[in-house]
Amino acid sequence: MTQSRKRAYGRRIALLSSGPALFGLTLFLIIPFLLAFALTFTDQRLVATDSGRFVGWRNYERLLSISYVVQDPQPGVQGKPAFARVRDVTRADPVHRGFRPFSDFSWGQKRVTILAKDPVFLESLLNTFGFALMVVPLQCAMALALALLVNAGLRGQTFLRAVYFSPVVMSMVVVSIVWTFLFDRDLGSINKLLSLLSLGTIGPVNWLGGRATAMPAIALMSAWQGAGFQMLIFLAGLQGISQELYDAARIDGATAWQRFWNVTIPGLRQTIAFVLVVTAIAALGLFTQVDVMTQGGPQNGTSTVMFHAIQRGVREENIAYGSTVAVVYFAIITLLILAQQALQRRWSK
Amino acid sequence: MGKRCGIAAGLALLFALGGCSDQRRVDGRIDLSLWRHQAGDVEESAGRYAIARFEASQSKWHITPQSLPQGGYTQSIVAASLAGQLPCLMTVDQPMVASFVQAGHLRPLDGLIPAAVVAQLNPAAQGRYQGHLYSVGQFDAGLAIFTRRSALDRIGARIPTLDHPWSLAEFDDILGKLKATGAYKYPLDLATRDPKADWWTYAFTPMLQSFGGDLVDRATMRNADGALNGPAAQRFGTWFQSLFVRGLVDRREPDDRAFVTGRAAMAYTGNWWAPDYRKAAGDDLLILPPPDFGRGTVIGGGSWQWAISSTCAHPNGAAAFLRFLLRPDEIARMADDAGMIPVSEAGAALSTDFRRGGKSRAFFDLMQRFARQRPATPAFSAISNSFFFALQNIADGKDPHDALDDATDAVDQAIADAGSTPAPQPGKVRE
Amino acid sequence: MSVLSTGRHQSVSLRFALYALMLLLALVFVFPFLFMLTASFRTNEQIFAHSGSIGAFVPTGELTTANYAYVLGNGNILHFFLNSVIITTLTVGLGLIVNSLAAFSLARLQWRGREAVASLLVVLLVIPFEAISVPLMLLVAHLPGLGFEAGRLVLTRSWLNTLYVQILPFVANAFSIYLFYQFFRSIPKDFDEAAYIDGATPLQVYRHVIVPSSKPVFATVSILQGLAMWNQYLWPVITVPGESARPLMVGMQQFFGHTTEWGNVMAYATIITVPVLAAFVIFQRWFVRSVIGSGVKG
Repeated sequence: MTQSRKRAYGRRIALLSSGPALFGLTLFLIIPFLLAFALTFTDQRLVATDSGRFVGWRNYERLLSISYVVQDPQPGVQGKPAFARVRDVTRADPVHRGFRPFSDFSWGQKRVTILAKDPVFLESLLNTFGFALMVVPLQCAMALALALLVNAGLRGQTFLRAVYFSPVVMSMVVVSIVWTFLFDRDLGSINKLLSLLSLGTIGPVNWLGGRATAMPAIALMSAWQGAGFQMLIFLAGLQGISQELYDAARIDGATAWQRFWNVTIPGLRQTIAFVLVVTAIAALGLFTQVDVMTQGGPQNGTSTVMFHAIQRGVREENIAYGSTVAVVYFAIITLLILAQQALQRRWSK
Repeated sequence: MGKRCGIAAGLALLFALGGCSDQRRVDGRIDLSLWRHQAGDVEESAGRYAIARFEASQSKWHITPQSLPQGGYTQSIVAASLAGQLPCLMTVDQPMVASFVQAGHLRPLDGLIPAAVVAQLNPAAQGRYQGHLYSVGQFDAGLAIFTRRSALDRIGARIPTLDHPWSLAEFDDILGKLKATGAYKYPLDLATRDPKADWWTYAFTPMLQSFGGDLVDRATMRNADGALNGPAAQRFGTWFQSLFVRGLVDRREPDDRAFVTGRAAMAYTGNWWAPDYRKAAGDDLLILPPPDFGRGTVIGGGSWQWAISSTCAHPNGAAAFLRFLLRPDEIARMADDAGMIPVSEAGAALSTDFRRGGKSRAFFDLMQRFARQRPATPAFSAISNSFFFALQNIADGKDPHDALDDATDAVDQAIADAGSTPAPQPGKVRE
Repeated sequence: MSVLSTGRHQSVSLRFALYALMLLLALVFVFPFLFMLTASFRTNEQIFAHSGSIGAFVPTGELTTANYAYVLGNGNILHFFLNSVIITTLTVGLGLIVNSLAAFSLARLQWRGREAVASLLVVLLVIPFEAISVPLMLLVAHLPGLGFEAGRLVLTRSWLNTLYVQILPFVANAFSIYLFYQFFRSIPKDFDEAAYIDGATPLQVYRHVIVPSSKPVFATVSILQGLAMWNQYLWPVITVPGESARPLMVGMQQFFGHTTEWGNVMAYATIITVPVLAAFVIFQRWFVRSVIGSGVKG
């Protein structure tokens, strides 16, 4: 075979072997995504499927517009400064039509209110990243701890691996329903257990109903559900670290902590990076748990980007807007990935 | 691609489902496909018996029913319509009628069902949009206050009547006294555990209306401003929030058996719970009108109704089935079999449970008197979802006025977006 | 072996502490499962009566199999079960072939554009399925398919209401390809070069060199894709209105729809979960070793 014919043959094989997968990805992932992108410039609705008219950047404008109002204090009751209701101000002023308060802060005597056309999206964005910041370290630390534990050479560890892995095989819908019950303020086992352990000093916590506890509760449950799988990946990493390194450290008189810090962690660098990425991607797509357990409440405290997209797109039948949420979100994540890769390249130089 | 098609073909051979198109059967009957939402077992089996009676009553049509989960019912209809696979007959939740009409999924029933038959139905059982009739209800569901006579006697409360429902002040007073007895952690069960927008809109819009507010301005149907966030609506929001603040209602009940088990003294729920409640409370059970919050008692009317798809090849057959369902004896049958409220006086008169003196007559009277439909607009889903989130936020402590303002803005935008394209003209009737 | 390791050096007290910790954690990990299992044998009243005590997790008191009788007797759970098994096994089976071949091509063959494709894969990982489900529905509703009508095989206008609409879109999977790709890259190049010198074709190298040394990653991908398919919910709800192709998860929703008999729901949930858990327990040594041996190390 000549070199060029060989190359042509190789190309044909390459095409043949990657073809089916690339075809599938194109047809069932890339094209629908491009379709979603195209929808963002229309007013397409779910039920009236032939309604899609071109509306330009309207969806993006509604999603991303931000503004502000500055208010002077008015003489209030009891000497405290009072402010006019922001909603009265925004609804009266055509400049602020469609804007709703997102958050506010004091600026000297004045009050500044940040307005957004879709404050729930901004809240959802913050909640989603907040969730990722909670669940990624928690889940990875839990997984690493479990991996160290079932790798310690103790009897029964094979069985325990299965036990720790078991939540992974349970459907997220099922897990969420069970935990909703466990988290229940009055009848849930978690509060009963807390009360028992604290001899009644800890009153019933409204886990899923409190703004401060709802997202952490969901994060805790999610970490619990997923840690088993990352445990297996860490186990793989641990078994790749040479025993000689540990022995050498021991001879140098290193404590268990020093060995962990100086041998285990460096040895797991690749694994940790992989686990972090995989966990973060899953965390940023949070939807099922929220939908089953809190419906985004209390007061949007657990609303996430995907939840917002489904609410607007499917439940309110505005698929053009739902798609816009998803596309903007995708753009943000892609930018983050690119930034992370750029940083990594700079580091490794 | 070749491999894929091969696989698809293999799978199709093994498992694929026959299409939903109409076809002539071996027995010479013409097949009509029918989709219904998944309701309770009782209602569904009552529906199956009705189909069997229809088939026995004539020899031209056969009906193939299919039950779909409620969760994705709308999406299923949308997907089927895109694929040209809409069934001939389908159930539609009454507030979705406008949306389906706008999308061109439904065929007007004018002319297919005699005006005299339609006239005897309650207005809430007629799904109208832009002057045309698109769906008919064979039955309705209705909400009431369920309580135990003994609980009211204990606190010396007046038993309300159709003519004199409780006033807001009375209702508040009774709930406070029930709470004060110490027997109930949360005296009133509002089914707040239900995570679906449908329930919250269905249950609490009537309260909003009784306060004097509404989801949209019914005069124009073009906006919510003033109706959903006006002074009356704000009073409703404040009161609704106070139910949770005062500990009269649980923010999220662990199950819906609070009344059955006696954890709650009172439940605001639908007639479908009556059998369980009768079993639990026996003669002690009272079925009462919801309170009059100022502008008269209101109960949500319009349940799941029947419609004919725009692509149905045999609308005459489908209409024959609907006419059969609307016969007074069939209405009565459904009412007795499934415990659903009849939608005509004639139907109620033939029913054991709903005729004058029947054990469920109270529901029929309540609906005759207080039923009001949800607004017929293609933006209903968005309206419902916005109202649902406003109520949830209010229950969770958000300022009611702000929450209702947010909902109002969302609704106004949704109505503007949904527009109201003229209803499509009925296609030619084949056959 | 790790920091907590090597028998010789472990003191008895450390060993004891580790055991205690492992058991405690085991309880934490297994209690919702026990709760589900126990509740599935109880009436609502019994569930609430026991919710405050250890009895919530231990089958004591009045137990009943009525929930299972109800779940098995109402609705076509066995039919749905079979559907789920078919969907899961076919998707996983086809997925292993298609995705590993693609990864092989990306990792081991030289062709122009493969680096671009590889980095595109990483971007595709980020697209959540929820974001494309509606456009994908619009698409499959218009794809020509095959079906039966009046006993004859016919061309249908869409994929709705079939088993393959739940299979084909999920065969090619960016994450699976990514896992295969990572693993294949770590296999020493000398192996296939030796084979090429012996005159092997690329496909022979794939079959006789790459696949035999990659069993672990095949196991990993099977577990991940299998679980995802078994638990799929949103998609079948939209595309499969009929009962004949309905999977188990959607069947369960029917019970949430009109019951708050927690016992029924838990019985259904148990029926969904136990087969997967049983499969894991039976194959767990193999699973665990496979994943440990697999290249999912980044």
